[in-house]
Amino acid sequence: MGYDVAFIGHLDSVEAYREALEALRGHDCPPLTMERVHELIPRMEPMPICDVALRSAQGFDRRGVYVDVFLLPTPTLRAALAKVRAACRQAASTGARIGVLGGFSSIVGEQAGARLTDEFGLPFTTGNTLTAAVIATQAERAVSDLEAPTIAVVGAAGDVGSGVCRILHGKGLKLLLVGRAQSPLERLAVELPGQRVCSWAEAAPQADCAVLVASTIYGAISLERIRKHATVLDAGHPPNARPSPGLRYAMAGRVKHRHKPVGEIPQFIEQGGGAGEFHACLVEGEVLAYERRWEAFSTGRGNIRPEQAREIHELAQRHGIEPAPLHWMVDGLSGRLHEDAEVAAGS
Amino acid sequence: MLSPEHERYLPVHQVILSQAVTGESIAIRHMARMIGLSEDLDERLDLVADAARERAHLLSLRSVAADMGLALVAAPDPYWGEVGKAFDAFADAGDLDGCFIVQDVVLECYAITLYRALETCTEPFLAEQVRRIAGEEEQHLEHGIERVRQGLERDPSKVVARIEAANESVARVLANWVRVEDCEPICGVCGQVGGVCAKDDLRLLGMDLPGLQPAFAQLYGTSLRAAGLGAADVARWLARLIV
Repeated sequence: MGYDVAFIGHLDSVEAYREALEALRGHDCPPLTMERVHELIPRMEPMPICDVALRSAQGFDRRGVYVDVFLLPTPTLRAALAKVRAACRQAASTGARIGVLGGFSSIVGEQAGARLTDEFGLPFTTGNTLTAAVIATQAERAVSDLEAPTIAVVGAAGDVGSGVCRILHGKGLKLLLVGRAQSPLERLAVELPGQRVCSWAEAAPQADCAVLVASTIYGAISLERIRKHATVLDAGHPPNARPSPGLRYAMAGRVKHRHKPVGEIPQFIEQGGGAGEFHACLVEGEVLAYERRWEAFSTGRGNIRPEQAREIHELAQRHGIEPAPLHWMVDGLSGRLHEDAEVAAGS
Repeated sequence: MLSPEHERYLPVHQVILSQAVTGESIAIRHMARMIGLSEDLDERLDLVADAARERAHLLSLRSVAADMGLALVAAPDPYWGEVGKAFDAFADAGDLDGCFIVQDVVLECYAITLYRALETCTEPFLAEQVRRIAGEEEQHLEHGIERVRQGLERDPSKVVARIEAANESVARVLANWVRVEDCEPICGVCGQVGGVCAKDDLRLLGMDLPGLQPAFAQLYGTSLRAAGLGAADVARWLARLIV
């Protein structure tokens, strides 16, 4: 039996790769140093890592394969593109019917769009529409107690970021559009009347909630100027910021399943977050596989519209997949110190 | 990068060619034992032809060494010894499939990896030879992959057990051989005792030493998956190669 979906992804740090490799090797092998892993990962070619058994709440069974790109967070763009294309080739060679590009690999889907399908004979979706839908839902819930809240979206010019902005704009929320590329931000501001482009330095002290969706290295965005009561939803992969004391900080963009996907090597597919949570981008491919929609649902850059986001979100829910609860990290400590049950319940 | 005029250029080639000739001679020895284990005449004839090809490789490498004025040195070391013991364990048990896994899959993957790495950083006349040899070794690897595929159809658990054993006793030894750190107390590359290590010379030659283990793992993993082994099993085996 062939695969239905190929999940293309990567871990978000050298440490994550070290831990995954250590778990794979077994305790009888000598421990790996961080230096060796740092040296090794850029030299590894993408490869299929394990099968993933999928079950929908509707009772549909699908078979997935996880392909790791072996990408560290600071590659040169050219090196990263070459590796992601190699991963697409590996995905196509598995016989899967759809490929989904997780994390940094989605940039290839954004750039190459439909050409990927022609090149590899397999539809590739970036997974960005479900990611945007999930982040927007989590942000909306995080500010639901506030009157006229202001949400700063950092990385608003990107594919996921602009999608999040369009969805939240449609809900009547006030947004501050932050990003590096000025002209796409300005075009977005024209498209979303009433929303304002500003710098992070200007936005941070005004925001009730900051949504971080930039493609950047770990901890690149400073949270120093964020207001005390504000919340930070970090959907970066790797995380865009480091949690700092006194802030309500949570990872976003993850989903929880009623029937958890079962990977033969969980260290590669359950990447961080709470137990049994998965990045929404990869799950978009799973949802499309349940629906037998072998199509590049999310493709290109800046194309995510609220209608599509609603559609994929509803399909995900139909199959028992919901935005994950936000696990607030306080006092700069990592781990789940406080689960927001109200947010989890979606009330 | 070392140039042919550099005084360290010749000794590193002496080490490389000596190891390559040793590897080819070990392949001939393995095939000779496999001929005795096979009960199929056509297979025995194929093994004779394969051994003759390895002989031709050995002679061409010898000839390159002679042209460069290099005397080949026998470099007995714990690595070849370990590989030989592992092969003999399969052969002594009359397990021809196990012998094919060691010789045509694991050892060929390793040989191809090293020949391909050398091809990019040596002189054109030697690069041409090793390119041709690597191409022929790839045919042996194809045969090994097909043999594993057939074995999986017959009895998957036996094949997995054989590969587990070959991975531990051969692939890990080979991967350790080209680990990045200098060798103590004996160098796996040059065989010299006392912390003398040829790896610096390989680096000077422009060889990406840290890339050898992943390149070997890559080819070996791709071959095992092509034979039909599961991605997770292969990932676990490969992870154990990294030193």
